[in-house]
Amino acid sequence: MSDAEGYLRDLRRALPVGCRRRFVAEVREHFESAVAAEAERGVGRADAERLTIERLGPAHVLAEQLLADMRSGVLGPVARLSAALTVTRIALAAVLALAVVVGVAVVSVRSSSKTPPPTVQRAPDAGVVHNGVLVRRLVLTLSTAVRQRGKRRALPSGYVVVPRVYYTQSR
Amino acid sequence: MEGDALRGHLELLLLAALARDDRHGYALIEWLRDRSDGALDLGEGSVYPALRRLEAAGCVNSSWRTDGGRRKRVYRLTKRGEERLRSEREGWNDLVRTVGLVLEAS
Repeated sequence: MSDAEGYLRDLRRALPVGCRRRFVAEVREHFESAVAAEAERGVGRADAERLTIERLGPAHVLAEQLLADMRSGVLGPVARLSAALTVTRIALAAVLALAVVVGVAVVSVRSSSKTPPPTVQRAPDAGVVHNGVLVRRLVLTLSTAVRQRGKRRALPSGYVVVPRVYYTQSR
Repeated sequence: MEGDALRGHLELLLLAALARDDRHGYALIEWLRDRSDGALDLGEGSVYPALRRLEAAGCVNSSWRTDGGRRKRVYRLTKRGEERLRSEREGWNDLVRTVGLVLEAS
């Protein structure tokens, strides 16, 4: 990337969307005119670009001059609004970035939790006596994995799926 | 003459540069440099914001023109710009005359 392109890139980044296109195009044309004028004096393109940047001053200073005029209202209410929206846009981007970071952190914590899905319970260790009959819970261990919400999820060790028909009798 | 000394007069100089011909940004800077025998050391970056201010004030208007295969934003003086140039020129002449009288008397 040439010095001029780097300068124009920095300028573009520093300006609000509303005035960026025209202003950058105008400064680009300034570079082309300056390079052409310096070429007539025998100066090469790279040196002409460096000289032009020196005369223009830093891109952020140039952008700040324009932004200051926009904020002050000298360039009209639309420009003032555009400058204000630039500040708002930066603030919104920061809030959005923070929200994304927090969201990713929450999802990460939840996915690493040891709590089993609600449809899965710990298998009973022994049967119970009900009306003098030993009732054992018939636990249908389908597998160590279960389909849930269309996704195959592995069950933690010691957990099984609770079937619809729960009980049987045995002596 | 350094940029600081020109601050406050830049818009007047730009209006004067546009009084006879329509010009684009770089041509304005070149014209001012040539007319002052290189004495005007403009911060070239400050010219473009100044042109925007003049345009917002209705003193100049501008449009893209193609010249030599390149698109250039060309500025021209409006009626309001002509009036402002006349007014500021008179103000400047008054200032020079007043300061001159004081300096001659010292």
